[in-house]
Amino acid sequence: MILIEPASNTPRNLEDAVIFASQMRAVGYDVHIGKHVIEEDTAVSLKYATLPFLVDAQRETIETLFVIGAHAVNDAQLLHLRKLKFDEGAKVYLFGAFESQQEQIAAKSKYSYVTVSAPVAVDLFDKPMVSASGSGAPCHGVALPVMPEAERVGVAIVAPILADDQETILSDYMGLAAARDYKAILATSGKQKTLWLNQVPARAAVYQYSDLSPASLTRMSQITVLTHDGDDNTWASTVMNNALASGQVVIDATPSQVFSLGSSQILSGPGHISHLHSYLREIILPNLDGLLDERRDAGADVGRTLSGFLATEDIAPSEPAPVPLRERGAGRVWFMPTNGVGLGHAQRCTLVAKHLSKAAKPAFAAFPSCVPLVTSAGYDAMPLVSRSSLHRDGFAHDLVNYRRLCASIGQSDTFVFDGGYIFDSVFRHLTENDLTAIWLRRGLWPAGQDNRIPLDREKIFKRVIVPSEAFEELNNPLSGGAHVRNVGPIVQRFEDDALKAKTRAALQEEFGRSFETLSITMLGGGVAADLSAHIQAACAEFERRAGHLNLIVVWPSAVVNPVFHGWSNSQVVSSKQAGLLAYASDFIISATGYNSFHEVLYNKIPAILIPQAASYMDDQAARCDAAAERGVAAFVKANAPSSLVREIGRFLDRGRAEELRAALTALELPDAGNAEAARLIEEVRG
Amino acid sequence: MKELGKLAPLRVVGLPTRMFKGRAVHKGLASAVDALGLEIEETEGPIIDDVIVFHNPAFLKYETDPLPRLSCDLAIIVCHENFVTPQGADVFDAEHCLTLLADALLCRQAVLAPVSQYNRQSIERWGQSHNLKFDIAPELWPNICDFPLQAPNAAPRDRRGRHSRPGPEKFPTRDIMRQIFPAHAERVVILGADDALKDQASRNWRVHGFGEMDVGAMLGEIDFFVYFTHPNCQESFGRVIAEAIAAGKFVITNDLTAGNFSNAVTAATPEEVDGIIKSMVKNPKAYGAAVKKAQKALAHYAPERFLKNATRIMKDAGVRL
Repeated sequence: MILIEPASNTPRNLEDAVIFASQMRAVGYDVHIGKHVIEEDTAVSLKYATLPFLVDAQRETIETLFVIGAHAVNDAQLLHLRKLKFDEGAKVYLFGAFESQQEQIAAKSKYSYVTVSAPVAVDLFDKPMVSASGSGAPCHGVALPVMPEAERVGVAIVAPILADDQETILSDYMGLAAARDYKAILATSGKQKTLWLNQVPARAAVYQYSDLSPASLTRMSQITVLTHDGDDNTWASTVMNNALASGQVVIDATPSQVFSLGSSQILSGPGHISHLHSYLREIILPNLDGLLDERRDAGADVGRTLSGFLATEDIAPSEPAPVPLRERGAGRVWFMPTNGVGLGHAQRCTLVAKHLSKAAKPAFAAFPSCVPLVTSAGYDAMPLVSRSSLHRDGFAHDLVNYRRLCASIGQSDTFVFDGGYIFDSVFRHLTENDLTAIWLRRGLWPAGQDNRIPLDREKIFKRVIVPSEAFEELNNPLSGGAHVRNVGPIVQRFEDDALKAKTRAALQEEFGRSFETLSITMLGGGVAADLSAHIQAACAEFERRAGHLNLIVVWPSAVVNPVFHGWSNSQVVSSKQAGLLAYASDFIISATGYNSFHEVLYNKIPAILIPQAASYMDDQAARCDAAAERGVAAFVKANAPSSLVREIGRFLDRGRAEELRAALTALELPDAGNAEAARLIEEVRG
Repeated sequence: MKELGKLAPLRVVGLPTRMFKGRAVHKGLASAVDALGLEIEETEGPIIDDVIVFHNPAFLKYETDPLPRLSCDLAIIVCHENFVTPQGADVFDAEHCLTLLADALLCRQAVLAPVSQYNRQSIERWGQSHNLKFDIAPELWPNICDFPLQAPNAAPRDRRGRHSRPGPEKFPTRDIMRQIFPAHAERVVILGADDALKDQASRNWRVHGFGEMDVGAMLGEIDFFVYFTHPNCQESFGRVIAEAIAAGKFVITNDLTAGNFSNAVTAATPEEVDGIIKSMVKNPKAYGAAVKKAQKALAHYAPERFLKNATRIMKDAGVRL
């Protein structure tokens, strides 16, 4: 095994080790980092960045060890190494910024004792082009192909600094971000990214360093612009060398022109960001092919490449495995529905999956509550871990999910995410592994919610498919662009009267009683909003009515409030077939999540709608208003259980259900989007 | 110092260095100087005398500034540390240290004085690929081992142990430690363990940190002193071994360390340790004879022997005593 080890336990040293590991892996070396480097107080972003490399090194035999920053060797780290097993003849390379020969000798001695080897010291002191100042970490470049499907020329702008009060600079960047003939991808610090998100109205692809590896940024771009002349940033220096190794056009836009002065392969660009947009449009883009040819003809500066470095220093880890060719679209289509409050996301995904070709072999990465729905629909499901208060911290489950996603879903697969918040696990997996991804994103997000953070992550998706609301006023675009495609409502439809009759007969047999009228109550399990008072009021009302059966339908995994039991005319039913039961009923009492609401409309089910309300949910009250205004559903407010009783009376005694069914039949609706969503997925999949 | 004081009037000068920056003078050294009625002189200016004995060039390894001028007739540079590992790698930046000394010295002659045979070989080996800058003295500058001798145990048992400073260089690999201190040994006492060793200790090991137990008491609990270091490290002398011999213990160590004691201690590989101990437990007479033979060899490290060697080095260099 090849192990990469930070010499000390400083965050910077671990970051540098992760960067080197990502570079080695980008060219096919199977490298790892020992899990002992992660401490409780390690930054969350660093935990995510390190995770794909982590192993329990005590269970392995180490053949090659790379130590990063070995000049700052730390006794605690050495203690960890003493517990590891090294192969006889293990190779140990110590990268460090050694200020003296004695520092090298001391490091070699210490590592020789813990590894029983003869370590080789590689001095990176005062080599600013291949090692950030004082880091002792190599930042040599690797040659990477640009993403084949890139529609616009990617321009990576590295380390731009945006001060709070520099409005002119802000407007300069806005010009870059809004450009149509190239795609500006900004990479900067976390603090700078926050400034960006706070100040730039247009959607811009802004990453912070800890969001992605240098190799991932390199794959997105053909032009790399250096704007910050600090020499202490391993990440930025690695991006620069990757761009050079990959034959990109590299532009020095620093005031000091420090990079172009040190290399003939780096173009001297505008010294100020305000001129960058016109410089790119007028000088670079019209001549891009020629410039790329020139770069290709000139060849890479071997001194800055990782392969050249390894060869020069006579470093010979085992042969790298060939980087697998990207057979995009050859794999499966993976859906990942978030569990949200109910199961709407999962159900929507299964409805789309049904329309995919056989070759797509749809599969699901699903939270435990969704797995039964997915498997009962006939799809494979890889279970994810749900958040739990029993975990040490709020993201522990997501770290496990990250490992599972990495292990299961690869570049040949197509990934479809359905949910509002892009988890870190998803964001990183898609970014780092260059996956083809689609965001299935219904609208009607809560009014007043700050959408900047979730929408910032839209940049990692090749396409956004928006299942629309049936009523136009409810469609409020969250973002725009050619990659955003609207489809009709994605809805489960039943158009089979025989099925309805058969279902009613089956229910009579199941409950051993006949009924004249059937209602279905679907008001959730009280997770988002407790509507148990409404249910109890409804049950009491139904109890007075002989010949009526009311089914309180809950999902099999739901916790049922005990007060729902003990009624003669109301029964609790755990079922995965809520849609079918609703279709077979005379009317339903339902919350107005996307799926239930559209099932009411498209399956023409008379309904008393009660909106569930929580700060993180879609705007259910807006759907209720829209339906009520059109006279196609009854609307009871969440704070008025007594009016539900009156409404039930109207349905059972005054023909309100029939009125609504007639109104629903007359209602014009857009075509359902199930098949179109599947087609758009297939289109991206290729 | 006590012995050298018999040859000529003595001064002790301390050089502040980066290696010991901020640290007080070692208590042992301070009391030895005090016992002789001397004081440690501190100076930034030139040091001038007939003979300068410079103890251990390795402590210059972190120095970046030139040393004060060292002006004398003869300079004896006592090399307390090996220059190379058994594999030939540098132990410290001897080139830098010797250059600093060469630049500072203004003298008729200067010699490097090894403290043991192995130490001499190490310096010579380093000199094959580097400029030594100085001759190597014809005699060793040996450690003085003036410990009271104790009789060996007449009925030795499989009670083993070792004593050293902590640190990875002082210990062999985990597998070798388990081989030389096996689970079937009646008792294993280790003094000078660090946390890593404590974590890896076998059940029958009694493990103590450095200074956590009196050395005499520790030696009183064992009959066999088994001393191996990390394969990439070799003791220049092995003072703990001399201490164990004087305490009447049967010492087993590697061949290079054994060579420092005229092979009076038993040289062995780790694989051979268990067999040797079993055979000695069965044969107490041989055990006693071996310990007494080793104790006789300690005469090489008597004060008189040191004085004889030191005198010879100075006289050979033409110093009139």
